[in-house]
Amino acid sequence: MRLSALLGCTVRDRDGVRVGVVHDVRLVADGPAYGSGRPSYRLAALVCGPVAAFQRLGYGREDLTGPALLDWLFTLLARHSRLVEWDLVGGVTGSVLHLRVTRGELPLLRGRTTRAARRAARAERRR
Amino acid sequence: MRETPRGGQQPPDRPAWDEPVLDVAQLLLDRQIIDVDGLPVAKVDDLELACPPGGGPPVVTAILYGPAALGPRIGGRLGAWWVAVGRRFRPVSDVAAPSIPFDAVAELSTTRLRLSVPVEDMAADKFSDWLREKVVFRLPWGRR
Repeated sequence: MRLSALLGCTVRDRDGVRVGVVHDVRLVADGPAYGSGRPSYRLAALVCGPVAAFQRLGYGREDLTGPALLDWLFTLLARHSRLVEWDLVGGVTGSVLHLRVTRGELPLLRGRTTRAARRAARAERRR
Repeated sequence: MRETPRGGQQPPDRPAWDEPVLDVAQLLLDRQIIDVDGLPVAKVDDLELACPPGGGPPVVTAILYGPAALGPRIGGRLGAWWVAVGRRFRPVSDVAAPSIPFDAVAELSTTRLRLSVPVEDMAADKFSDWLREKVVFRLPWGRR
């Protein structure tokens, strides 16, 4: 399987609701070891959402912030982007990935942009 | 450290990856690959994934490069055209996208992707040889 076969695929949840398009793939180095003994990169999650530009610029990363205006803009564009664990993919039909969960159960790409996280940050600042 | 043909140094051990978690489109695709001596090899155009024999999620097995790898990523007519052009510049017996086993990656970080082998060992060199033999040498003064 090629990575390009995944990029651009439409993702639909358990109820058939469109989650978005696969813009990126997250790898984690904890797979079976290569011949050299190093851990292989395992396909851990898919980054799905309506807009890809911010992702390619690096604004999907939690550790990348600012300039403030760009951060605000890309956060706004990324507000519907979700992280889909590979284990949640139930099946593939052509270029459509079907999930085993509903859209609401998927975590947002940038957790700190969720309303709850912003509320927690505001409460923290007040203290 | 082992000395390479061009005087580069090959690391004797294989430490853990610098990037334990990475987003492919951000950190890997279109990244310049350099060989053990610091010479450019190609750019990462695609990745090959395979399910491990014991089951589980797919793992990265190879880096793909060249027009045959980039074309499907571009998609549509332009992608098909790109593959067709690339195919015409390759030997008939070598139509698949050239690949580098991921095991040959010595260093992978946000700033560089370095291999543990020299560029001469890569399939890219076969293309260079073919291009030199079939095109460059046939040009007037091409053998100078």
